[in-house]
Formats: sequence, structure tokens, C-alpha cells
Amino acid sequence: MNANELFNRIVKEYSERIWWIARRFVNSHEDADDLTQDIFLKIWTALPSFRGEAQLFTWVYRIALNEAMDRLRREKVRAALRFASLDAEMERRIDNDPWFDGTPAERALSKAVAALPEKQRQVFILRYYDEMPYEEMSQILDTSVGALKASYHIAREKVEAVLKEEAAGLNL
Amino acid sequence: MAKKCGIQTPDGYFDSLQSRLVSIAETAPSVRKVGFARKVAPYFAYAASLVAAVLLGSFILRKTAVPEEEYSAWEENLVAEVLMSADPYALIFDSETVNP
Repeated sequence: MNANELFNRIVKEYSERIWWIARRFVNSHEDADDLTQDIFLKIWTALPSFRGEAQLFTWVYRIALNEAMDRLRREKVRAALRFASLDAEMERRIDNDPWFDGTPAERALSKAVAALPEKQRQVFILRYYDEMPYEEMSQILDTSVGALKASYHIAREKVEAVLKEEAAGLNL
Repeated sequence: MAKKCGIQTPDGYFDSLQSRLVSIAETAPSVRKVGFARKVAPYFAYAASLVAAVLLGSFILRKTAVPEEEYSAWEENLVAEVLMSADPYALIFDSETVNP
């Protein structure tokens, strides 16, 4: 299989899943579109270095997560230069998202996830939204299954606490 | 399939996304692996240019250096006498004072 064929295969098999991962990280349809194109451009340029030592799935996801994290770090710097916070920016995006058609609880869930520390956010997004098995996640993030389960547990507790607070606020 | 949790997408979005992504292979230049020789070649080039600069500089300096003037025998004696008379110890220790 030549590079073009392999790339087309990757696009066909993974583009939608990668887009959803990007969407969860950047909380905006347009930014997710942009980030997804950046991810696949990176995949295309890195294809010559892929020797099949890792599973294609692991390799693709690793690139996607690295690109997403890099983008968020750059956005954090830009926000800081405007004396703003990235957390506030993410909340604003989630509140004003024209493509969101869910419940207030789902909106609160997105905000709670956006506020998680980097590693916990990655684990939560992959586990909860993408329903990825821990064994696959372990290969992508190069972390033990036990550590991932612990991360997810902590992240889930934080998210639940935020949702309970939100629900209590609505009930008052 | 990922949980959507309230997020929607335009109709046909993923089909158009795939088309756009596939076109990356057509428009973006492919990256070829750079071999070891090509990676170290610039360093050899820098080293070679440094050596060339040193050699050229030495050559130019040698060619443009002002040669030491050559004195005639008369001029050498004159210089010797001037040096002797300028030397205070020569006044004290000349042959007439040492051997009166």
C-alpha cells in the first residue's frame, strides 16, 4: 500500500472519530474543523516515519491528542496576553455554541470537562465520550491501565461534583 | 461511535470533511525521510568554509605583510653606535673608564 492509499484509508476510518475528539477539546465546530485538518496534515507529513511498529490506531490518536494539546497551549498563551483565561474562553464558547442542542446538564458537563487538568481531560474525553477501552488508551497515552483508571476516577468525581453543584443551584 | 451529548453537525458534514482531508495528500508536499548523510552535510560545509576562511586569511596576510627593511652595513654600524651612546651603562663601562 503506498502513502496515498494508506492516507486515504486513515481518513476513511478515523476522520469522524478524530473530529469528535477535536470537538471535545476545542468546544467549537469551526475550531474542531480547523484542528482536524491540522491533525491530518500532520499525519500526512509523518507518514514516511510510520513503520508499523505501533498500531495505526494508536499512532493516529497519538498525533491527534498531541496536536489538540498544542493548540490548547497556544490558545492559553494568547488568552493570557489578552489578560483573559482559557477556562473563561471555553465557557463562553460552550454557552454560545450554535451547534449545541442538548440539555443544560449536558452543557454543564462540557464545561466541567473543559475545566479539568490536561491529563484528566484527555482520559475523560477518551473514556466517557469515545468509550475507549483502557488497554487502547494505555497504548496511546503510554500510561499504565491502573494510572488511567485512577485518573478517570478522579476526573469523574470532579465532574460529578460540578454537576451536583449546578443541579443544586438550579433547584434553589 | 462517540457520544454526541447534545452536539450537532451540519447535514453531510463528515462526507465533505473526508473529501477535504483526502485532498491534503494532493496539495501538501510529501515529506521524504532525510538520510544521515544529508543531515550531517551542513556541518561539514560549515567546517570546510571555516578552514577555507582561515587558509585564505593566512595567504592574504602573508602576501600583504610589509617586509622588514634591510639595513646596509653602514646603517647597521650607525644604529649600533646610536644604541651604544643611548645606553647609560655604556658611558660608565666603556674601555677607557674600565681600563684607565
